Amino acid sequence: MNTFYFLALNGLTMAALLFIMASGLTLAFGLMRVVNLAHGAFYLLGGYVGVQVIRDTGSLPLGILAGGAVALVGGLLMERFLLQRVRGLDLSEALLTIAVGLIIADALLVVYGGQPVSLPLPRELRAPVDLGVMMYPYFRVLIMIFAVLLGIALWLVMTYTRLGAAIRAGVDDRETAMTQGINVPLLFGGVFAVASFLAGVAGVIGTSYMSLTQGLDVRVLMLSLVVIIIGGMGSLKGAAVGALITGMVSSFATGYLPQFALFFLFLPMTLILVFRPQGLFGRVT
Amino acid sequence: MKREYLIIVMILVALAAWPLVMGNYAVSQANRAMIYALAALSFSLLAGRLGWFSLCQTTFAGISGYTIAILGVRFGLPFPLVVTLALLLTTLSAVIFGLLTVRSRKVSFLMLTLALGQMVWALSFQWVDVTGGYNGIAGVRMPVYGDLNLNDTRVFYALVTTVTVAIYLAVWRLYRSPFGLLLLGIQENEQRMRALGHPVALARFTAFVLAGAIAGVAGVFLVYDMGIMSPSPLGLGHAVWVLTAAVLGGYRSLLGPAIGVAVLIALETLVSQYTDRHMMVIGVVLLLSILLMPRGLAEVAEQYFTRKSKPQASVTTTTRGEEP
Amino acid sequence: MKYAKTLIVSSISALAVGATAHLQADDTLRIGVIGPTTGVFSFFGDQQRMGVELAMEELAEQLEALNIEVEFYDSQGDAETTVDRLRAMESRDDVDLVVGPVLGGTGLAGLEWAKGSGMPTVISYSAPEDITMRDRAENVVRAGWTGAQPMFAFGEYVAEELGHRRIIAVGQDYSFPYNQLGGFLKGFCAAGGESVERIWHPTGTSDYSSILATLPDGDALLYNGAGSDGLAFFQQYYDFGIDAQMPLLGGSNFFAVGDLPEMGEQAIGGLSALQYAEGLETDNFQAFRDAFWAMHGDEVMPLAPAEHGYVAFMMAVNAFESANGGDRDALIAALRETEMPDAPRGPFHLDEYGNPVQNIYINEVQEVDGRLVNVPIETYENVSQFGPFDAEEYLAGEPDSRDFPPGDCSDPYYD
Repeated sequence: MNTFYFLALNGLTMAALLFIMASGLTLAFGLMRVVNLAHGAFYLLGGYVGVQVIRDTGSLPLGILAGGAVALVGGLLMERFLLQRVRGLDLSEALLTIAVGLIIADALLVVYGGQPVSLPLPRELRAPVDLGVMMYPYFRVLIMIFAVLLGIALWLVMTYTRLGAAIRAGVDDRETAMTQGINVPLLFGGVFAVASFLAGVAGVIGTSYMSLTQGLDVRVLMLSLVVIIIGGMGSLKGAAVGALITGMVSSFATGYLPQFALFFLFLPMTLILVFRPQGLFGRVT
Repeated sequence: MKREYLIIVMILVALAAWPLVMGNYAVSQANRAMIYALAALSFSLLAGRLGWFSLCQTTFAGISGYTIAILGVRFGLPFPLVVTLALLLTTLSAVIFGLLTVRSRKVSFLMLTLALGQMVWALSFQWVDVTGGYNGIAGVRMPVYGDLNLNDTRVFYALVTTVTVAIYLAVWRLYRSPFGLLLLGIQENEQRMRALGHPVALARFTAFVLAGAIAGVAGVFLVYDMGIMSPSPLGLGHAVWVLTAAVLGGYRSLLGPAIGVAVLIALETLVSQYTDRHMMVIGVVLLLSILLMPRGLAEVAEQYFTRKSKPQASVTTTTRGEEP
Repeated sequence: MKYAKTLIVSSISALAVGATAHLQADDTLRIGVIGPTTGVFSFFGDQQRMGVELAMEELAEQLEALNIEVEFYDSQGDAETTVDRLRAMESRDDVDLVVGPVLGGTGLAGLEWAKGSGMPTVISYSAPEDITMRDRAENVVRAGWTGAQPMFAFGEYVAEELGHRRIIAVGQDYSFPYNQLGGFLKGFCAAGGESVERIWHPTGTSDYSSILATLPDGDALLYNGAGSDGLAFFQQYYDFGIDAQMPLLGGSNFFAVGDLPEMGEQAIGGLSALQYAEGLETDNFQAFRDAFWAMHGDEVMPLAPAEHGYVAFMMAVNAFESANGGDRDALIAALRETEMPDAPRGPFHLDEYGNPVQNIYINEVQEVDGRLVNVPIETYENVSQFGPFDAEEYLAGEPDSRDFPPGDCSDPYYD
């Protein structure tokens, strides 16, 4: 029974991390129809910078903010100087983000080298805490809490604030929203900035869990895509459910059939594509 | 009409002359260019006719390559049988992928093919019993028929060039056939095509399978050219490389993908002598192509040679829209 | 706009000419060095390159006297690119001898190509055993090791000196860890071990918590992997407190390459085995290390890939010297006769299959002068790629795989 709890908790941790990774991607896609394929590269960028700040200052929150901030700046620059030139051409936007992702990843290789980098967590964060059913590392519990808080915050903003209403209006009918005095380009820039920020934050938090290395950008992108394909592209709720399914299946598969872990990672996605191609919570376009 | 045949004859002459005047390395580079020109053609068939940007065409080439490596090296089956089975299996995987993706559009198609392609890449990496994992399967060789050694660079060149040219000519015919026009029509206005009673979904699916089969042919040559099959050709890097070449050359035209591949290989060969930053080079080329030349080199060249602003409907058929 | 187009067209024509231009064959001898200096494995390629650069500086006089030029190539850690670069070396750049490749897969691709081309090749760090065993080629020798080579001794050490009887082996699911564990088992069972239970995970796994949750009992855990996988495994092993139940032993790359500074002081006391140790205190080694630091700065520790590149390059230059030029047959003959009595890692010579017979060190991670290093605590001398076994017998046996040799030491295979 203990093993069961252990695997379930592992699945939850992974789900939490997957949600943090995928939320930015799905947000930008849902609101702007922009799929940011540089998402993985922003994750890597945030991770490297965040870890360096943590090493230099010893402050974890500062590192997380710094990682998010640098990805935010990167996202803003990309949106302003590249994506806006081809606004409305979905594919051009996607291809531009691929190009930017390649450039960022290669630049990071020059600056930080090819060795894997891990997050120097303080000992008290690595220590296990008692969860009632079993002992579990403290920082993993924190990742789960953070993911839940993030999900609630995003949901509240989108559903109950004027900002959320403005964003939804901008998505549904751009022209009408603009005549209502909503500054749509600014709004979209803001959303994109937040999405990039989340990618950077995920990079720092994720590094406590898997070390940063070249090629991780593609893996993160792939995992995020799997999650939002399951949940339905653009749906926040879908990202949460997709992350949960992927995390759980992957954890139990790794525990009992490690050699086929990867197959099980992709199994839910394939099933979804066959039986419900728009994803669990996706809208039919 | 005359112009077109003139261009074709010029290209054929250049291709025939290449191995006679160039050194071994240039010929082996040309072999690679042919292989990737096929992969890029497979990409362009979907991108130019249907607006479907696929990141899994290199995956089909990889599936074909692995089939050849496994059946040829592990089981020692004869060459013609191995190639036939490889193409069959690739087509079959294209059918499966096609069923999974046929309903998606534009960006979601891009994301789906990315995820599916990465899935196969990960399998090739991790299903070690079958694929040999990271180390791959070595010792893939073409047969030797008497004095004719198909592994010889120049013999291989003759073979791969003949097949590539034949496939390009076939696709040229296809682009001008009713089926090709139907695909363009679907890209332009799907509703209307459906209202006119055309089998839209079936046409899309057929194009996808066809493109997969072309990529499969590229995979056959790829694995024999390298002598080893490893996961890397299935990776995202190769998929993006092919995409970049097609965008650079102009995926809407017939010759665009070939031009893009040739230029990109030349550029890489040159750049690799000075710097290791090849990923950045690809990134920058892709970025600049999209921003400055959304229609690709093919059209720039055509305008340069014809000195006309209006593109003519010829070998380099183009359609409306500036995407990308 | 018209000018822009003229520019594009003419620059492409220039490109085409430039890219296919040839170097003329001349009296200059050329060594091509290939390794992954970009991509996931760039650490290995960079180390090799730094080692070669050091050797170039030390051998500057010979290089000039023999008129040898050196050219570096990036394999990108990719088999296809490796073959392409090797082709460029032979038919475009007129290279006479190749040093590298570095990684397992690219090494096999390089071997495959070298068989067809006949190019004299000194493989450096790449460790698949068949390069110098079942698939060996006359023109290919190795300056490094096979995966099993250091592990025969480690298995023996773990059974005899540490007294462990039952080992849980977790590892990355591909041929290099299979080979490492194969060597370990052969040494371990011969020295009185009882059993090894294998758990393989896909390369690129980042979360080991579920594997750790379902671990069987054993006397010690041997982890066979490196890079980001190894680092993640190491951290989670301690996060979940498994170290209190079983000590953690490392495969050859686990504590040895690059990841050690990231592991932190928890790594102290970690045991592994390799034909190299950056904590060696021999004069030859310290001279090498100090020269390396003088050239590349002392924040970079020269590790095995650097030394293997350094030594491989020296073997190449020695071969040119005794062949007195670039004649292929003479070069290959000279390479196969290689003896390196003063190599930094310790003396070695090549066996008749072209792989070094060398010292294997059992290394312990210790803190020396404020940094973590692998310090040798036991030396096994003159270990060949066949370990304690007869070459013919070993070659006749099955290659190591996911479940071969058997994990149970009482299996008739070990009689």
